[in-house]
Amino acid sequence: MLKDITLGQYLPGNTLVHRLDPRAKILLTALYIAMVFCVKSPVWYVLPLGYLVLASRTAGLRFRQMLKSVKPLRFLLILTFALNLFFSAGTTVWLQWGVLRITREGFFTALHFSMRLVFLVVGTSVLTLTTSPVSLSDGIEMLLKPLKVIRFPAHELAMMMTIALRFIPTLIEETDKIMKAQMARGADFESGNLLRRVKAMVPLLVPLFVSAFRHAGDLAMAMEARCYHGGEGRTRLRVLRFTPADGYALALTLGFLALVIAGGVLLP
Amino acid sequence: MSENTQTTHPLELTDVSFGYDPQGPLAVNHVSFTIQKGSFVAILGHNGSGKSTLAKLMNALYLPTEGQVLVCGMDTTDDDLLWDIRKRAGMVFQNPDNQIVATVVREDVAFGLENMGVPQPEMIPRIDAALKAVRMTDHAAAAPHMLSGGQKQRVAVAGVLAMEPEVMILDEVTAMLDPSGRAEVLSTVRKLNRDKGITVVWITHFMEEAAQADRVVVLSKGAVAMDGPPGEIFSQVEELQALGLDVPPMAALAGELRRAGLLLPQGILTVADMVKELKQTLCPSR
Amino acid sequence: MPIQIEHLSHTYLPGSPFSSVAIHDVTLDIQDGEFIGILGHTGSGKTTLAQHLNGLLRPTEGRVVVDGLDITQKGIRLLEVRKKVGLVFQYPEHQLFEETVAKDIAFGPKNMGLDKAEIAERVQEACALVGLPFDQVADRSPFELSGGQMRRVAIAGVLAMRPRVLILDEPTAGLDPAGRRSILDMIRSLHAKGGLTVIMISHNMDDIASLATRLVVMSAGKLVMTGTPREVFGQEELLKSIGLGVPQAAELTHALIAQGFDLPKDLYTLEEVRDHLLRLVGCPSAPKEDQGPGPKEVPAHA
Repeated sequence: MLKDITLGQYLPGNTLVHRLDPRAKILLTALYIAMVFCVKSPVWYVLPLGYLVLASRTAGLRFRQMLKSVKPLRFLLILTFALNLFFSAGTTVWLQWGVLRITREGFFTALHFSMRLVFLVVGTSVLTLTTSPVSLSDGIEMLLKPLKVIRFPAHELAMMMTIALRFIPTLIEETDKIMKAQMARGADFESGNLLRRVKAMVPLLVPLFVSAFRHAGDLAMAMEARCYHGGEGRTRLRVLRFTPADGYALALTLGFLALVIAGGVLLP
Repeated sequence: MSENTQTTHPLELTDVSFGYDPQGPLAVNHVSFTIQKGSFVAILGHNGSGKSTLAKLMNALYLPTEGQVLVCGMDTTDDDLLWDIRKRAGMVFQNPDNQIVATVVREDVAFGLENMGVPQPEMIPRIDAALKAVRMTDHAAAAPHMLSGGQKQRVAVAGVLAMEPEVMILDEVTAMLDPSGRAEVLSTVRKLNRDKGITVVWITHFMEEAAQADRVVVLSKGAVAMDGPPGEIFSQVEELQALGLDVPPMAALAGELRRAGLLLPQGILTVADMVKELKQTLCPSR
Repeated sequence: MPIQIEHLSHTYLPGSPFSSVAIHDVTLDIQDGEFIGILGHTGSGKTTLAQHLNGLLRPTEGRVVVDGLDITQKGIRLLEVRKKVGLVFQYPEHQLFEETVAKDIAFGPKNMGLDKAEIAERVQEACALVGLPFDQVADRSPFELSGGQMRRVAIAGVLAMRPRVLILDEPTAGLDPAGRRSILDMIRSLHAKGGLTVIMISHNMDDIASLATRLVVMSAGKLVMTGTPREVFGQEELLKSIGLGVPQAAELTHALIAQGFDLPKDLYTLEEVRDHLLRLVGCPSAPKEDQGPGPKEVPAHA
């Protein structure tokens, strides 16, 4: 049954990285992203690479698991590489073929931007692989809380994420059921051209929307009945606590960031 | 929180009316009744009889267009008392999938407590006790979508129970369950009524369930059509059928046997009742 | 149109950590004109079994033969199978999607590629079969109707394909007593007058007892028992051991027999029990007279 499939990429575990406070992990990821953007030339990726190796070792992740996250982006990656390779300005021409030419500068730019993309995606996957969606939404809520002064709906956003997570399995199950019911009436979701296939989705999508609205209406009422009235005066069962480990991890990451920046300034 | 809960009834409805559409018909039509503390009252009616609307009037999800609803003496139209009212009158709904908010059982039970602003250290024992009372302790860390319908409804009951309500209103909570799920939810709620003294309003269209209540209120077209102990209500076979309802099979059989001349008393609802009475009637010497 | 189910097994997500056996080695023959009641607990495999009968699921092992055709072989035209075997899901009203009742009922016939006149005729016919007044509902939105009426529209949508076998999964779930009775009456007449073979999945013993000609009992993916309602409901112990009950009439009969009442032990309808009780006179442990079925004197009248 579809509903048994686990959500997201989260790989449960109990390593040091798994146990870090989600707020800290989100901050670490932000610093890591900054680090990647501060890299000035391909050689200096050695630092984020070292950082990633350290993080993944501690988290008990295999390289292959992390690389998986690049797969959906492979076309974007090829495109980035190709565009930069052929269309960057440069002087040292390596190959000339009609209007297309490959220069040394173009090659390094292409390499640089592709590596940036790979490093960004693989690095953030450490966060999603080691943090459950629920703690992730907790972390986001807590980090965004100060933005309440500018009326940013941090609590509402997190509540929406939680509810979405809760209802995804239900909706998957319903999709499966409605699809089968329409197939029993001779519906065909699998053949025909694109237009036909899009049209064939109507008997599936309308009931799904109707059901989603029904869920939403009922749920809103059930939440109100249990005294839900927004984030005001609300306490929480899950309390996030920073530990010394979070501090060390932050310090370490800041150190790496400083090295990258220094590297870019001192040895361009 | 006032001290008047000892002297007032958990629910008091006086001449309550409610219409969804000001021009349209009334969904609830001049209903008055009082629910005694600690009782188990079934509200029975066919679909569209107004029983779900009535339920939502009982904890200020809807406000009466006429008349007055008092929850532990508090008027539901008083805005300042809203959260206090909902805390005292907990509500469980029909569809188990549409009332569980969190992705983990114990966190869902915490939802009401979080909303009430209960401090975190105090939450944990209340959650544990609630889960224990509905026999779901072993599933505390489970994901709700992996549970059976009956288990989900017990989680929903625990979520309300943790809020320590005075009265629990259960709106057709067994309608979507299979027989074993229905039995497990009903027996859980009956136990809470008996052991913890929680007043229960059990809304249903299943006669067998209503037969287990202390008192049955039959609704039809938004108004109270009958009100009394189950034995008395279910011996009125024709009247119930005219209202689009059934009688429990044993009450129907008792009615037919009586008509054929057997001297059976009123109030036979279950197989056990029937066996006992048949023994008495057919061999009074024993 | 007979259906043969031969050594059917189905495993969900085979080979994955989530793999689970839903049905195991089920063999069953269904004859023309039967009314089969499939009984079983939630998770006993009833619904999985039903979804094999029109090719919605493919078996992991075994085969299903509908009208002489093995529908589990590769390359079969499943639309042909679905024309013959109609399947009404639990809460079928959740599948409605069209703007009007008539259009929704026409969905199946349209997928069959029928012409307009034929579709219109079938829609009218299906409305009549489920007891919906065509003139009043045809152009209304299905979403404005009451729950019971929506369910009828959904069933009509399956009947419009003129199946010869109709499978219904918990057709009375969530309905109130009046709604339940009228849907059951409708199913009864589809079987009796329409000549359909009906397979009804239910966990309501009393519903099944009054309708089915044969019962199939499933538990934990296996076929436990099959027989007439009288045969099956006589096995109260076995049914209870797999978490099922018997109709209250059968339960009462068994309880009375245990108390020494002289009753046949295979009664399962209230009418039978009533008639037998009225025949019994005096104390059940009194010496028996000859077994004449005629009415005896009845205790003093009220």
